[in-house]
Amino acid sequence: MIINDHEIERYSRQMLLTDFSLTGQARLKQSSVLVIGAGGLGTPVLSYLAGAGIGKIGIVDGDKIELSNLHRQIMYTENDLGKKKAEVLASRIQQLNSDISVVVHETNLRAANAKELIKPFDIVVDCTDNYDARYLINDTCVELEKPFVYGSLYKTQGQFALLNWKNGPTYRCIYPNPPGIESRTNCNEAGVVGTLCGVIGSYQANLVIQSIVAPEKDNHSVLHVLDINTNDLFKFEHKRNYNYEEKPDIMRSISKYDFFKLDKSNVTIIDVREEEELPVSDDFFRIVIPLTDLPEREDEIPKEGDVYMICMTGGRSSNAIAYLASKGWENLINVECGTLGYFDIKKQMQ
Amino acid sequence: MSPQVSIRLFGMLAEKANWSEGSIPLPSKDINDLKSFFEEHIPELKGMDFSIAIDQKVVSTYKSVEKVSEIALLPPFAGG
Repeated sequence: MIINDHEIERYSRQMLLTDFSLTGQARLKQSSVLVIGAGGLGTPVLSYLAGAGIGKIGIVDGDKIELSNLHRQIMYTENDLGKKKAEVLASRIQQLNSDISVVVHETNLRAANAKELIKPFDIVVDCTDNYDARYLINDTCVELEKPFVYGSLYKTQGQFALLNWKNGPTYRCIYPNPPGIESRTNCNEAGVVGTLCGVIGSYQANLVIQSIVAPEKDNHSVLHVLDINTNDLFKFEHKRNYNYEEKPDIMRSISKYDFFKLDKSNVTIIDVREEEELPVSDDFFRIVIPLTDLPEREDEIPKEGDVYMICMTGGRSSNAIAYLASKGWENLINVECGTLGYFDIKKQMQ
Repeated sequence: MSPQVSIRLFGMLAEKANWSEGSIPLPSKDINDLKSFFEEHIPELKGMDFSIAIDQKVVSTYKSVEKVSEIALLPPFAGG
């Protein structure tokens, strides 16, 4: 791919560097990167990727801009409040660089759309703020053999890493399973320093750019942890050691915490316990199809749209999903810890 | 008295324990379940999720013959 005179002028300051030159710049122009999350990390990541000349950039985010975002998501202004993040940010980075193409997906990443969204891109950047999206990105990238750059924050510390690069380590190699309630907290709950987003986001963008212009460099087996209070950067080596063969259906589940938070007014929830089994929650509508009746009643289960399968503790519902998956259902989500998990969280929240 | 090894807690682990740098006795035997070992020595971490790095390498087990100078406990972060 030829870099024209206009592009040589635009990118001249980075093209002076050995890694970039004409070849590196052409690689950036030919590459496509999907950024999932247009918040604290997503805004610096997208700005630098657009500036550097990534040929095609995708943005996935279904949220709107709020006043409490502005201290760290500095590509947005007060005039943008209430507008959709993906749309506003796409317009901003397109103003920064009209030579690149920008694709907007005004939706949050879900099991039902993850593969379709990720497939067309070379590299994915995880700028999300929750574990369900993070594990979904990891598992989908492993399945589709896409590298991704992970980043996340806690107050004054941030982690970042290039993962699944050439069959290298993945997020599950560091954290095999999503954490329990005790360890779950995001920026909205814990708070975060605005500048940390800029620093970690810049590191993430840099890993993306490095992996494109100098793919032979070894960046892929290190988890970085930065403390912005002390300016210490810690590096931890890790290896690919998670066995993905043992967990073929890993992405089709929802934690009891997220199921509790889920807006259940417009989703299908199927309870595979027997009719008389208790407890039953009045908080949401459920269709009861006992596991034992499933073969005769499977036609009642929709094959499109997210369908949540629940039982007492998550065992029978996962068996139901295994049975239905073998018959072609791809839209079923197991509610981890089942009805008892739901009541457990409800009690904690009271 | 068994030799001590320095240990660093990150993120919310440091908040739970109310310290971020300290030392613990170096285990004298092989440990397969390292997480339980640390939960036993730092009870505030019970029920928390974290990975363990020994001398800057993420590990899940420990061999008593290893020469260890630093341990880090790394919780997952959610924010973005």
